[in-house]
Amino acid sequence: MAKQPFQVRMERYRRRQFWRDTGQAYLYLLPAFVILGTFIFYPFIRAFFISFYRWDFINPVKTFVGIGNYVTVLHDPLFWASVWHTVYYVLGSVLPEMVLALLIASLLNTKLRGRSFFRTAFFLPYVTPAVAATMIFYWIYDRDYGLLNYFLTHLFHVHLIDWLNSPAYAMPAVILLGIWQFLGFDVVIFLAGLQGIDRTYYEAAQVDGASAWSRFRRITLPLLSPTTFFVFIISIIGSFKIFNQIYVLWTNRGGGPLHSAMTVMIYFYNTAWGEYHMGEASAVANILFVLIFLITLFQMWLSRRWVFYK
Amino acid sequence: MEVNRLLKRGLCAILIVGLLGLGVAVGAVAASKVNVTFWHAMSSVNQDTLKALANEFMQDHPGIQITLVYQGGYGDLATKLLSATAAGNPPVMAQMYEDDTMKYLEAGALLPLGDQISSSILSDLPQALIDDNTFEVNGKEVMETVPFNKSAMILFYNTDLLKTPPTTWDELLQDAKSLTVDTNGDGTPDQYGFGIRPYTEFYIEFFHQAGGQIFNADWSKCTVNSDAGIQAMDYLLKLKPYSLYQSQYLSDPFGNGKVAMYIGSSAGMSFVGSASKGHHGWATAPLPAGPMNGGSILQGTNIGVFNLGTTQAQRDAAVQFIDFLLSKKATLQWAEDTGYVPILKSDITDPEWTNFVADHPTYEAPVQMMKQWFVYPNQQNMYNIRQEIETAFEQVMLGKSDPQAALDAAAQTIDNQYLGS
Repeated sequence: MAKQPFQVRMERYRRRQFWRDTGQAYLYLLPAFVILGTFIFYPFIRAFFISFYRWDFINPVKTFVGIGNYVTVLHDPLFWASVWHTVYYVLGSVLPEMVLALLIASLLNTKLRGRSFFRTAFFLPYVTPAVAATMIFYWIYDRDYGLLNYFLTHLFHVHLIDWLNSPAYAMPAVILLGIWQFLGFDVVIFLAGLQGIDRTYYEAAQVDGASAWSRFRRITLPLLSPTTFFVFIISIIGSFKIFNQIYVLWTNRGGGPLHSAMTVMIYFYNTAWGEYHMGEASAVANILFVLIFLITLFQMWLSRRWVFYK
Repeated sequence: MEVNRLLKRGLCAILIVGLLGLGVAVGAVAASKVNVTFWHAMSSVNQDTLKALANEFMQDHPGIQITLVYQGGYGDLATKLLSATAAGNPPVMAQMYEDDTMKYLEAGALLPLGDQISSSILSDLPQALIDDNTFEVNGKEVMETVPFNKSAMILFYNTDLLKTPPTTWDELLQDAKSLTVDTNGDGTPDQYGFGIRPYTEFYIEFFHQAGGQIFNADWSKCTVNSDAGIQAMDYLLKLKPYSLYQSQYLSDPFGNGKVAMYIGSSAGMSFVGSASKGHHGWATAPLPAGPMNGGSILQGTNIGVFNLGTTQAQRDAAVQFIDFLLSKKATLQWAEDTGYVPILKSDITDPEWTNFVADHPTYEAPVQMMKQWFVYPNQQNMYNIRQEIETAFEQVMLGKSDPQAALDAAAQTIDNQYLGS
C-alpha cells in the first residue's frame, strides 16, 4: 500500500525531531564525557594494557611479559599481607561504622534539642581534608604526649600504647581514624533514609502495642534496607581504597611498622612510585578492581534476600 | 554623541596597542635572558639560603635568569621530576638522589657534568663525593652529577646530662645504660639514654663500623648476613632496652629531655637547636667508633643537568651556575647557613671556616666525619635492597626474628630478586 504524502512527511518530521532531541542530549553530555573519558576511562584501559608489559616509566621500551606481572604479584607474600590488612581494615571499620551511624541517625531523627548542631558536628569530619585531619591524629596518637593515651591512662589506667610504632596497634589506629572520618557520611544517608519512612507505620504498630525494639526490628530495618544496602556497598568500596591516611601517618611509603598498615593501595603506590615497576603496579590495580567487582556482585546477589523494596 | 563614541573607540585602541607593546617588550627582555629552571626540595632556612645564592649569581650574570621551583619533599620532587622527564619536559637542573639519577641515565636525559665543571673544582672534591656521583654508563664509569647538599651522621648529646661523649661502642652502651632513668617507678623509663629510629641508614652505620659490606667485590652476592651483620644487630639489641624506639624524628624527644643522646644527620642541627632551646645545652660529637672503623654514611643529594628538552645556552648557563655553587665562597656560605657540610677539600682549611667553627663548635663533628665517609654502592635496585635490609632490621628490633634468620632471609631475597639483572 503506498504511503500517503502526509504520513511520509510526518515520519520524516518525527525522525528529524528525534535526532534533534537526542543530538542535543549528547551535546549536553559531551563535556562530562570528555572529562570522564580523559581522566577515568582512558587511564583505566591504558592501565589494563600496561599490566601485560614490564615498564619502568622512563625507558620508552616496554617488554611484553603476558601474565608475568600477575604471577609475580600473586606470588609476593607482601601482596597477600596487604590484602589481609585491607580486609582487616574493611571489616574493622565498615561494620562498627554502620552500626554507630544507624544509632546516631536514629537519635538525630527524634525531636532532640540542638539536632542541627549535632548533625553538622557529625558531618564535619567528612568534609575535613583527609591530610589535615590525619596530621592532627598523628599527634593524638603520640605515645607520650598524645591526647588519646592521656585519656586512656587517666580514665582507664591503661598502659601507654605506642599506636604508631607497634605492629599490633598500627592498623587499629588507622581504623579509628577511618571511622572518625567517614561516620558522618553514613549518618547523613541513614538520616535521609529514616526520614523517608512513613510515620503511619509506627503509629499503627504502637496502637497494636509493639515495643520500641520490635518497631525497630520489624519496621525501621526492613524499610531502611535499600539505604542500608547503599551505605554498605559505598562504604566497602571506599574502604578497600584507603590510602591517604596511611600515607600521611607513615611517610616512608612502608605502610607502618613492619608493614602492618600496608593496604593494597599502599602496596600499589610503593610498587609504582618506589620501585617504578609500572607493569606490576597496573596488575595490582586490576586485581583490586576485580576483587571489588566480585564483592559488589556478591553483595548484589545477597541483597535480593534481605533488601526490601516497597 | 559621535565624539563620545569616537573617543571611546580611540581610547580602546590605544589601550590595546599599549598592552601589546608592553607584552612584546617584557617578552623581549625575558627572551633575551637565558632561563635556567632549578627544581629543588629545600625548605625554610635552606630555601632562603638557596635564593640568596641564586640572587648573588644573577647579579654577576645579568643575562641568566635562575628560576627556583620548590617541589616539596624529596619523594615528591623525585616523582614529579620523573614524570616530567618521561614527558620529555624536565627542568634544566634539579636535585636528585643516586637512585633517581640511574633512572634518568636510562632515558639518556643527563649531561655528564664531570667534563663540564671547571677542573679546579673537580680536583678540590673529596674522592668519596666523586665516587658517589659516578655511574656506570655503557660499561664506562662517568661522573654524571655533582654533590650539593651533603651531611654526615653525628652523635647529638645533652650536655646537662653528659660531660664527655662516648667514643666507642662500649662507651656508648655504658652511657646509654647509666642515663636511662625511671623516675616514677612505673616500669617505663622516663628518660632514655639513647634513641633508635628504624631506618636503613641507621643500621647500615653500625654494619659498616663492624666492617660489613652490602655486596661482595663484583656485586654478584649480597653479604649482609656476614659476621659483621650479626655483630651489628647483636650490639643494637643490647642497646635497645636503653633506647626510645620510634619511627618519628628524634630531635623533639631529645629537645625535651626524653632522650639523652641519639645518632642522626648533621642536617638536623637546626631542628635540634630549636627543640632544645630553653631546655638544656647540647653538643655534637663524631660517631662512636665500632670494632673496625668510625665511619659515617654520606647523606644528601646531588645536582644534575638535563640535556633532554633544553637548549645549549641553557645547559651552559646551568654549568656556570654550578661552578658558582661549588666555588669556595658559595660552599662556605651554604655550609654556614644551613648545617650541611662544606664539600670542597680546601673549605676545611680555609681560615673563614676555621673561625666559624671556633664560634660554632657544633659544626666541628660533621666535618670530622667527612674524613671517613662511605656511600651506598650505586646498584640498580638499591631502593628494593634497602627496603629488604630495613625490614630485617625492624623484625630484629621488634623481636619478631633473630639476627641470623632475618639477615639470611634478606640476603636470599636480594640475591634471588635484585642481583644479576
